[in-house]
Amino acid sequence: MSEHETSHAPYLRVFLILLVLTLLEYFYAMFATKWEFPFLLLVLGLVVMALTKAALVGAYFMHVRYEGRWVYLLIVPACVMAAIVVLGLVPDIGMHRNMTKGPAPASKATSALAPPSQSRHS
Amino acid sequence: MASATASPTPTPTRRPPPVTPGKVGMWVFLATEVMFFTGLIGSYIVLRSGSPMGGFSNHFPPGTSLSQLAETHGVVISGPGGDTAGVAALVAEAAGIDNEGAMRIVEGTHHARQVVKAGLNLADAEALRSKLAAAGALVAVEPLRIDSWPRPYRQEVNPLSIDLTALNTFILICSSVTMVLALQAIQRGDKRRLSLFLLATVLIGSVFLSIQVVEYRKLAFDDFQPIGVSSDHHFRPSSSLFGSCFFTMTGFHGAHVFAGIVTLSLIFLQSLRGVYSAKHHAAVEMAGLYWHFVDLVWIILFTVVYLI
Repeated sequence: MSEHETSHAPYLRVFLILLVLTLLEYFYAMFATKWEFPFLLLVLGLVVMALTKAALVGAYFMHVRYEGRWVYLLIVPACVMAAIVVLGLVPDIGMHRNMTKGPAPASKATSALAPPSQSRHS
Repeated sequence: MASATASPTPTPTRRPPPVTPGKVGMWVFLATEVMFFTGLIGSYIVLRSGSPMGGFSNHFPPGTSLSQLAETHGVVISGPGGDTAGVAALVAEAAGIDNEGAMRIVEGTHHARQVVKAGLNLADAEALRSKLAAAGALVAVEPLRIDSWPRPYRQEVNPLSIDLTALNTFILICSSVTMVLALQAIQRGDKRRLSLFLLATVLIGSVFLSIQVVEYRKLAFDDFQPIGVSSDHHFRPSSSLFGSCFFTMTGFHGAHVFAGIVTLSLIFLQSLRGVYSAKHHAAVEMAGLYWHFVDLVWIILFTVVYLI
């Protein structure tokens, strides 16, 4: 840990930025839902703000900004391997969606809630 | 030949390593944690994107087959008006349930709007609405709305409190600030401020965890959730895929917060004994790295699970 870090780290400024971004996220999500933004726009805005906040915490509070490149040698492969695991799930989910196409048998819950005529038809 | 008075060959000085083994070990641990949480959050995203349309609706429990119910309507009550018992009796008659169950539905309107009866044609729904409205109840007829996943702010399918959790996110960020100030204090040799900021971090972290426990309790036991959230009106891991994902992700994060609080409490007790100094404070730094990582993960979880 360097002298630069200990003497000049702008912790309170970062805190204020995090606070503002949290408020922005909160109101963005609220109004995006209220005004029915396209889902992609909602996701994009929120993910950008969340990643900015995460990057600020990592860079300043975890001092990644002041560390050597060796930190990335540990973190990047971990992220890549985790992404591979997650991407490996995608085909299974795709197959699952294909299997669930078409009318499915009625569940017990439907039968219990629907009126008698509906239950007989389902 | 070199004379005896020649300047001696300079002995090579040992450069200190750029980083301590302890810090490398901590980052290796954090890398495994990155894998864990990336896997967890990534799996959630894949499961959500793969969830079929119709998995959730405003009138029926998650997972109900809605293929025969697409054009149906439901009667939704948002308040009993003055005559709670009378309205409950009408609800019991309409829904074909006992009075106790009907009373729970009527009283559940204090928390959220409740479905009286669903799967009706429009004429039948309007007739039931008129009957309940005549008794003073606040009722409406709504068409069946389906979705592949519970969207935020839609109380009929999503029971999560964004207001409370936004506050909790702010609280956890505050604890990260006090943690980094604790480290800064001991780097300057200020043992008193180290203890003070460590105590603040432990207390603020405990508040975060307490709010999460309260949230769990309300979701799983106290609040009477709408039928679109769960068939038993309580949001639990068994309620739906959304429920199991929510409790798995936030539960694992909560366990990490708990571990962080225990660790920081021990370091706080050590700090009271004056164990740490400006030159020897590796434990504070390592615990701080862990705590900030937990904060970082929550920032992502809050966005992915609650807001999107």
